[in-house]
Amino acid sequence: MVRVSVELRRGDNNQAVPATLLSLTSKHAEDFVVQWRSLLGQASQEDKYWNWHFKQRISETRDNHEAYAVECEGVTQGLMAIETQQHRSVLAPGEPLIYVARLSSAPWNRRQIQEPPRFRRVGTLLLRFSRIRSLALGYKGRVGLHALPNAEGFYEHRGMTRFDFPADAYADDDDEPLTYFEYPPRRR
Amino acid sequence: MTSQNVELETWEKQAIQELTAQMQDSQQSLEDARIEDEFGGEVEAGYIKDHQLGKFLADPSGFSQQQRLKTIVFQSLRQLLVDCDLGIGLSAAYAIGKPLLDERLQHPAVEIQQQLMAVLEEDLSSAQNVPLSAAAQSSLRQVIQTVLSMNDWEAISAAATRSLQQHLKETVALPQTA
Repeated sequence: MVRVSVELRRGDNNQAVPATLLSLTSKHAEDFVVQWRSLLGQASQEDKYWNWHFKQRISETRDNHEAYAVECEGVTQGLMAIETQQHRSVLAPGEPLIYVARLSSAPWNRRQIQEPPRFRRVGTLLLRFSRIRSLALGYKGRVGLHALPNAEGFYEHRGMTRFDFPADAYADDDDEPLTYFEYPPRRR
Repeated sequence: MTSQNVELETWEKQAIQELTAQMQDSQQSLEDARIEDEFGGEVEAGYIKDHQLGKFLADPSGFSQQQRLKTIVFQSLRQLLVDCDLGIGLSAAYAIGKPLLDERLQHPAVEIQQQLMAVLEEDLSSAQNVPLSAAAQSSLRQVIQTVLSMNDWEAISAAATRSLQQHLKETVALPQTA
């Protein structure tokens, strides 16, 4: 079980607030259903249908799936699910990486829903932790993910390499193409 | 959690320590908060298929059929453009044509709906990987040619032309005009 002390910033006054990054439990998945989902639905957020109970179960039963939460003041502030064995790098074909299957911040931490947001830094901490897991598994810090459209700027700014695959790559697939981002190996 | 026995090099151990320390570092947290704020606190990442889960759960059979029909229609559009021999302009033409076609098929006329349902029925009743009959393919082409307006086709051909011009300029390194 992972349990790391972290620091968030309050959205209204930038004050530091202690928080914890820890392995996902059913309590976190339930927080998503009870506290997040209706707010995400009202704001038409893309991640409103994500099933964190499923992610929690799979992280407990499969070696290659892990899931984490950020908790602050007793409430789930962010969630992340990663896959650790099956995904490969686009930057360095064939090299393993951590694939961030889901990353989500609580609705009240998004300025589009609440201004000012309750807490800042939740997503950054989860992303940074994915990099720690990558290094710990010998993947040199390589991390890949598909950003939802509104978050592309954030990942670009965090130093990830952006890949815009040609539209033809999706010719037989009705999904809207999401932009893929990848962290290169961390410098020695 | 993966518990591989990994022999880490010194730099990797140091990098882990450094990143872990950053999680609690006040200066770093201020900088992280500033960057997140700059992008509206929007950090969501994940494969979009789940985005359609609600629609699927509401009507699994209908949703799957709708997805299948859209795939068939888009494949047909792509083949039509391939047959137009657009060369380097194919990708650009398809990138413009696909959303236009999607939009035009949001509320199709009754006869278009009937044509599409007939194609879908044929597809669903045949074995996987068996191509559509020539008649069904012809019917699909007719649908595409009917629902896309003259302006749509002009936009598609203009995209292909621009792509070809750009490619030509890059290949022969012509000076860019203002």
